[in-house]
Amino acid sequence: MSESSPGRMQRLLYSSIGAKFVMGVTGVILVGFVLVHMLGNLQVYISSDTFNSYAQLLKGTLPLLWGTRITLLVAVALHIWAAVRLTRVNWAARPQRYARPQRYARTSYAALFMRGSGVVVLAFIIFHLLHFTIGVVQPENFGLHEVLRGDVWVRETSEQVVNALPAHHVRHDAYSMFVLGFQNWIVSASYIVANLLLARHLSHGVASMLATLGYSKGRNRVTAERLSAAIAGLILVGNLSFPIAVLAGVLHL
Amino acid sequence: MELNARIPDGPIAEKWDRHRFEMKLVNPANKRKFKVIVVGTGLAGGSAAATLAELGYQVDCFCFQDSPRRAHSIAAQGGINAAKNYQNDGDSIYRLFYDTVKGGDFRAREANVYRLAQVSVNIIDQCVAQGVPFAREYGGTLSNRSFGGAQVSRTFYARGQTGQQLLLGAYQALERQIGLGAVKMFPRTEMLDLVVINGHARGIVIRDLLTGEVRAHAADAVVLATGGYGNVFYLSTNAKGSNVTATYRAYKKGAGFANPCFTQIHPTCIPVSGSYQSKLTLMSESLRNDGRVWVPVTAGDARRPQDIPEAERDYYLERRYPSFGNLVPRDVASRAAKQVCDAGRGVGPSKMSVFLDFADAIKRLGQKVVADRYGNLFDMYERIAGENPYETPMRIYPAVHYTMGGLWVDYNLMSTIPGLHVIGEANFSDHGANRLGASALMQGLADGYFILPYTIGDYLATAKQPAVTTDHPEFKKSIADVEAQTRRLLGINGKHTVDDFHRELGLVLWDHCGMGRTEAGLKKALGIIPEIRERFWREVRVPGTGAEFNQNIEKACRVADYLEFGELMCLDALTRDESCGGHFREEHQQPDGEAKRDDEHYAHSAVWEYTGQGQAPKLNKEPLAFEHVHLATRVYT
Amino acid sequence: MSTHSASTMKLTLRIWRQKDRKSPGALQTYKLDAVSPDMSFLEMLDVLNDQLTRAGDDPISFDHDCREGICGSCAMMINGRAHGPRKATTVCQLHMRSFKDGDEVTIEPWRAEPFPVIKDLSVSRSSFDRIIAAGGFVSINTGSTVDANATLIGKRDADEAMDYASCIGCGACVAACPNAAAMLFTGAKVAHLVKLPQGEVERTGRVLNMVAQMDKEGFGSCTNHGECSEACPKEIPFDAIVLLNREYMRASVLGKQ
Repeated sequence: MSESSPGRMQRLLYSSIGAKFVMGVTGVILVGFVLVHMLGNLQVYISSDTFNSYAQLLKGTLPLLWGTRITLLVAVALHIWAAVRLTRVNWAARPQRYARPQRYARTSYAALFMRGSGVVVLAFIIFHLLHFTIGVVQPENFGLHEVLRGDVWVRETSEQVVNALPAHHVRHDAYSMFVLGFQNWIVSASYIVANLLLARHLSHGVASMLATLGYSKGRNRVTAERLSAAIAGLILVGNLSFPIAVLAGVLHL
Repeated sequence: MELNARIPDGPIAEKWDRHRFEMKLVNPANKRKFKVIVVGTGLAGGSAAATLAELGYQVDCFCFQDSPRRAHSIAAQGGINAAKNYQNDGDSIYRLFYDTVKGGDFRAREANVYRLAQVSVNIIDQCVAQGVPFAREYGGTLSNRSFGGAQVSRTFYARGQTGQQLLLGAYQALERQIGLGAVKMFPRTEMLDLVVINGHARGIVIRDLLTGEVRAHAADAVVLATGGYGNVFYLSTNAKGSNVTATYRAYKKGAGFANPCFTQIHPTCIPVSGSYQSKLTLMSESLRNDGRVWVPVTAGDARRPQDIPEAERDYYLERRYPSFGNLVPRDVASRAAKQVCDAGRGVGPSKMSVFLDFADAIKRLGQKVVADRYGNLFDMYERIAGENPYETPMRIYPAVHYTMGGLWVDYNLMSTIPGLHVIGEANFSDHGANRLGASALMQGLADGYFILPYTIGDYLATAKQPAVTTDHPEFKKSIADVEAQTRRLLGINGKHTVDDFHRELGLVLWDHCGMGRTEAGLKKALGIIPEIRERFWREVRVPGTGAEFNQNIEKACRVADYLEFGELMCLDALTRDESCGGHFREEHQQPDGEAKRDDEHYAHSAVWEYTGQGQAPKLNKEPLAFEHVHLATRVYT
Repeated sequence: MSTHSASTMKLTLRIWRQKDRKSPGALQTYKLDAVSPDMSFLEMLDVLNDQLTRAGDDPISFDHDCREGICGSCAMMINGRAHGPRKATTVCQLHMRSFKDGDEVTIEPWRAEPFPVIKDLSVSRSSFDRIIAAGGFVSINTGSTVDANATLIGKRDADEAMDYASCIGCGACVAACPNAAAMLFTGAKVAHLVKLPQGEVERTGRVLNMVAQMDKEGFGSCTNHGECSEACPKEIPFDAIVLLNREYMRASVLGKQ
């Protein structure tokens, strides 16, 4: 006799392995986003116009924008829910720790520091959203715009001009926000630190997720670990290049 | 003491069938009204408890380990015999029967051995169905090997961990019944007394090892599956916890103890390295398939073994037994090792070991093939001895491994106390005076899966005993006796540890009741043992209290019994004035040094009856008739 | 060739002493001289216990039985590692030649909520038995079988099943796991039976029930550190956990049979 699907769902979510699946599946979504996000941002190196067009495209496609935002929000929420749940289970499973700390044979600092790196990355995501999405941090940069003159977009600092033009002749000047933002060394430093921790998180996270989702059997385990390191490395190099390029003057207004 | 073996009539091949038909059955609806106690969860006890529960009986199961999965059957390495004839090499039930009777040097009961060979084939089917991962051929069929001197390949195996896999199969079947509520499991409990009411076994008294509580359990029948007594020698290949207490205390309650002097010395063990030695480790007998046993020709040759030329090596087994060579039966190989060491030609720091050399096999087969066959054993040797056997020959020496003696049972596996059944190594078994390799696992599972679950029904259907509870005065008395013994042990507070006495006893037995026994030596031992026992009860120190987890009391109780049992063993060895199988009386040997039986006077099982503390036990004899396997001298040359 | 040596060692032992389940415990220091490199680790503890007994002290409780690495009784953390420094070796097979003169050796029991300390270094591992009782078997009654060779099983599957089946239930995987998870233990049994046709019929229910029991016992969850298979004296591969994840996923989709 087969049982009902709600029963199955409940058992799945409330089992340790089920929570790991949640962690893994949301992990796939989040790492996918981070990768695409980084790749998209690489367009900053082509030209300010390309970058701003890209930003315009993202913001202009409302179903895509809100679809992505909701998916990510749910994924982050579930990821955190699973993390909290499993952490509580794990702490309860060893209430008395070893008097002499364990000596590990295989695991990494990254794996042992997932909670720490996760919390810092979460804090960074909030900051990042406040900075570049909502514009609470450095609001002066967030308010920059370009306007359409003929068939080229040019920077326009006068709010009056911007407000007078029809909406489709104005776009957000993401490029300037990006450059001005990273010219602030405190912003850049926090961005660099957060990305180092993100890379650590992913260097274990991706491999772990592949194991949880049943991929890493036999030689696949090494493949998964290499893939994990590669993705984390790629994201790190890409993301760190932005503040460095700005601070080094490669990217400028 | 009446010894009615209750061997069924009829031709040997039909006895078991006929008996199964003639036995009374318990109505399926009535089975749940009967409670059976099973003590021990090795191959015999685990399989019996699971099977009895499957049949519908209520089962209470006890083991001293923290889990039923840890019983010592788990350590058996080599394999399990079965007359499947899958290799088409001429094996048959009759041949397995014949080999077992002959291998046991004609001191086993033919009808039982025949039945063992018959059910051997069912065991393999059962274990495979449970998911036991036996070794297989590329075609997907089961793999077999020749083992322990057998001339057919009838041994099934799971790497070098056959006992483990078979035990886990039985353990899992048992856990299934525990999960279903059909078996109540009591781990970390030690049986310390058998309770007999109106002449029937009606329960046991145990010590709860976690709390120290002494408690009674009542039932309609009791099954002992408590293993052998090899640890009476202190050093043996048995697990440290293996003990004689359950069977010995049943003996003191009236169960006959048969052939206690039939002990098996296994030829391939890692030698003793120092006075701290706590146990000996067996290396699977399969090593003798490719390893060559030798010692230097000259006593005291101190060269490295690699440097001793061929001409100055004595491959003594190949020399003395050309047709069997290194594969002679265990007792023969063990005695030969003792003889060369006694002659001063032993090797190693203590000079009490011989080489088991794989250089030829590595040359012939390549290191990879040797590693595939024996890699885990080589690793184990390296871990313990600190030497690499791929480079330098292993050093081995015989060690006590298995005990053929045990509580006497009839064809139904029931002891001389009605209702007390004894299975596996704990009974006096089907192996006579010497057990063949890969036959212990077979016997344990035969008893537990396929014999006892039927025969116990006959007892339960016919015994018609009134119900008892643990309020019965006999239970109260048993509890009081056990508690008094505990108090006494804790109160001595002497200067010596329990191990001091155990080691001392072990040495006496090894010297005088080990591989070679003499009248003078046994008499000497019979003089020393009571003296050690007397000192034990005066000078032992047992730390801690009785009302807690106290491993010292566990040990002390066991050693107290060994100190009495060791005497019984020597008495049996002295009384059996012949050599047979593992019992080698130096006065009785063939001109070539082989065991010389005296069938005229000793073709019987010697069954000892307890007559009271400090009194000489009474000897009873069950004559053995050999109608199918004719009495002959074992020849392995 | 021979590593036998007459020289003996002096050791400082820091051993966890705890009277019973409820009492708090602490590390206590003992000095031990004349330790032979050819002793096993447990024999070294025997010698210490012998001295403690003679001195009128309470000897140290520790579980042990077969002393040949197969029963799974012995269990202790030695210098922060389950079963000590040697790979693929239980404590009973660890020999003192793995240590050197003057070493300080810290010995603790396994630590996990489902492995409560009984006394000193002894812990209860009955939670493992209950996981097996929840589904780690093939439901076949004695006698209701076909001929053993009626079901052919490829050598590779049989060998792989044997790899997983060689678990001795010692609990080192739990002890070594930063989360005290029992995934390797549970996974080993699930993987053993899933590799064989005999395990097929109960495949779905088995993994669901065993994992449910594992969670109920209070073991932690797996975060894929891989410490378990490193500590495993039988070198059960980490694959057992991956297979367990796969099986659990499959069973969750199919539902309970």
